[in-house]
Amino acid sequence: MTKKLFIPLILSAIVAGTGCTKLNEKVLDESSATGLTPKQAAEGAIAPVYAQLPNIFLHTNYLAIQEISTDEAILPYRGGTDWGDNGIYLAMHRHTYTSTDPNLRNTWNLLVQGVSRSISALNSLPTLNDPSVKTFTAEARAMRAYYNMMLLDLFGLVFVKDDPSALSAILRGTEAVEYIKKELLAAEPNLESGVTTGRVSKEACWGLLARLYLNSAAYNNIYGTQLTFAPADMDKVIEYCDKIISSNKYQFSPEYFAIFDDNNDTNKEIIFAVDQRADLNGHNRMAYFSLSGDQFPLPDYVGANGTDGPAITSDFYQVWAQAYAPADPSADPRFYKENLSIYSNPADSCVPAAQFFINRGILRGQQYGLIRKNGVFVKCVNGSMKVGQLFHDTRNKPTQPVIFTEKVDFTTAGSDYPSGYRVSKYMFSRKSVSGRNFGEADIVILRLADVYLMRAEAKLRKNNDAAGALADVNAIRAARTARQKAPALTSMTLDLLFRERGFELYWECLRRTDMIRFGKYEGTWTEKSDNNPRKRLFPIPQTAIDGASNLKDYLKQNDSY
Amino acid sequence: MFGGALTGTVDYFRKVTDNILLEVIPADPIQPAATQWTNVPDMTITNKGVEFDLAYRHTTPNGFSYSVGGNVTFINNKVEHSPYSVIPSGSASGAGLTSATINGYVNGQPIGTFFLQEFIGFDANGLSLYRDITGDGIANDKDRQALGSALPKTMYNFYFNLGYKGLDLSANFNGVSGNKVYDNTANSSFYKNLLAKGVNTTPAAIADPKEATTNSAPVSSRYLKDGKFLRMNNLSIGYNFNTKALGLGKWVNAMRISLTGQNLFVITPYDGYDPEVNTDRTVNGISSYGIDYLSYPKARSFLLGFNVTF
Repeated sequence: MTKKLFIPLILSAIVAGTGCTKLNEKVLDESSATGLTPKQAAEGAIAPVYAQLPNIFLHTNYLAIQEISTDEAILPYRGGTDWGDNGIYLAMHRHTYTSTDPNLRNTWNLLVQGVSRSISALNSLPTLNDPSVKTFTAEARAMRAYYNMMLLDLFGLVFVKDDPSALSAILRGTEAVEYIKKELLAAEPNLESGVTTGRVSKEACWGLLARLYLNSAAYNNIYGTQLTFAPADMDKVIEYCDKIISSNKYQFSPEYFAIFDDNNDTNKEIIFAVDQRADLNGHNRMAYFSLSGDQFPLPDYVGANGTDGPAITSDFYQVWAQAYAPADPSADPRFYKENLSIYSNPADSCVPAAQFFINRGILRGQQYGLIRKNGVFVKCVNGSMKVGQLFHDTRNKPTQPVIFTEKVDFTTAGSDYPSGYRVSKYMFSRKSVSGRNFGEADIVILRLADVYLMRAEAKLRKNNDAAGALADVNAIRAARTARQKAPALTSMTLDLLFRERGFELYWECLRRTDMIRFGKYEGTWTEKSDNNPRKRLFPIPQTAIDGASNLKDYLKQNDSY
Repeated sequence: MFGGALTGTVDYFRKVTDNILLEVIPADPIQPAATQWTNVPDMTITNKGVEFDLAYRHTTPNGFSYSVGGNVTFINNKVEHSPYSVIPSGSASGAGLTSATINGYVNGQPIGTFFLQEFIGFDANGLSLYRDITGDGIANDKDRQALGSALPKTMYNFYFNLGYKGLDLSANFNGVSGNKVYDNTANSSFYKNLLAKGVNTTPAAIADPKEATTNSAPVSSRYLKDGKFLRMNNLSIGYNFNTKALGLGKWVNAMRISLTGQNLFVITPYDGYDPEVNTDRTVNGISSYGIDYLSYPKARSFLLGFNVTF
């Protein structure tokens, strides 16, 4: 026995021994910093600047703080098991947020790091000798301005810094607006026009300038009861919107929801977006957040479902309902798109997997979809996917149907899993294995319809040019030709324009800013009665305030926090 | 003293630590990394105190021997000259709590100080009220205060041994006082809102009938509890047989039977599992102190021993 074991041991030792003497390394895949071409080094410098965006535009970050704080979204403590998070989503909606809110802190951290990464790029790019450096430097400068603009919008301050080792100067109010303006204007000449929507183009820079001019009345006087929109600012909004429109580079998407589909990087309506093209490790949280935990949108993946996150408030739904009464709001193609015919034809319960797409827009009532039993989807005899009425199987309530109700609030009944109408605006990415990750839809930051609406608003605010504003609004409505068109409006006021921005741009992370600009953030809606204008700005995270407590009066907390 | 029967020592200690290396959040948040290591300028931590140790040993002429002893340490720990109003540590755990900190380094206070808002009850609507220290009419994080430390002010232990012929009995106890424990477990799992939604929790959640079911439970002194305790660590009783008298002396050198109980009781006002707890909730490499989060209690064990030496 011992001998038998011994011989193979010796043999293997010999083999191993001879193997070691001839060790020729064959390099299959390796890179080193010194081997980079200047172009690669330049790309390596600018990429981290943009890489912050997917995380900023995460469901619990920018989307949550820009939407759940408004009438467009409410997130109750679902069924007492989900999204409780010790009341932070209730506080966000009620405007009782505090400086220890983790979502505010995460967003803040990502934004300040975005500014820092832009500064790093601005310092390393000029040392490289490549034709792309000029454009990339301008993009880094514009992105620093954009991140600062978000900081100004959310927290009321910007950080001015060029030398990475210097101490940032902190500006607020008018000074901050002027700084961002100056930076965007300085970047603009060297930006390019033809770049992908994931990069700051000349047109994207014009759009950001228009957005800045439009909001500067609020930024200059953030707690003001009456905001004063300077005619000169409105002229600038119109000027930059005109430049984008007359560049003829952009077109309205005939199908509204195509703007939010997978592979929307080719959609002609988008001007600037969070780049989530295939293999960029994007996320699918925009689509996943609002859907039911018992909605399985992908025939390929049994683990991909929703999470019963936020719903729209009944107040926001009533705006739609009253605008179109006595017709159903689905008269507006932006409200709803039926992809599964079972909703209108109950007999149509077998759909080939490749043609199974969930409905888009605002989802109401009984939901239908793929039926998951014992971990697999039920199929029809012909091999198609079985589509049927959905129940709360994953909640261990298999007899409770998934019926989205108009009522959603913080009562026990209003907090149940199916409470509230849901938003299925972004396509549920076909490759999202878990429903959370591998999103392939670019997240829109700026698009042509917003530009038209900004121009319309500036016309109204400047000299009450209702006819001009109406023409801009109706141009958008008339351009959605893929299905039935929304009826043209016949009159225009600021209130109607605000309503139209809700119809066109709901859940696109613009609502809080819009409400502040239109003087509606202190309004009353479901579960929200706070009317303190100091809540227009969020608290600076306590961790940042504590960290800066060694420099007296350097980083001051916002009022009322 | 007393012919060597009584022995004792008194120690005084004082140690000043400076140039303390901590990972802090930079004042200017525009940095490549969210935190940086730095020797906090001027900050010192002084740890001083006295320790008494006393033991008494005696054997009576009829063979009864006993000894008693113990020691007690009084500690005074203080952070001074920190340029920060607080260097936070000890992040809370649990949904929605993760951005709040529990401990902090605060001037004039020991390390491991709990720096929290003080919970003072409920308002008419059943929502939590916190003390407004700044007097600005709102209770928020500006109103955090030092509300005790995880470091005990006093630590002690004592023991006794009794012996008579083959029989022996020994016991030892230890305890601390003057410290607090943050019950993060209760904070994250035992709040009334859970009950309103039909989720299992403990009676602690409904302890106060004035509390509204929609009340949220942020980190505050509400979950800060007295952490003093007295523990009976060990009690042992044994009997050594006289093997010669039993007529086994030829074959057996010694034979002993014993019963030992460990962790027999803890006297403490703390209502979590175990006051002797330190769940690591380090923030940025700054240690946390005295936080209880989903920790297991110490086991109580009994050992029955029978030793035979040949």
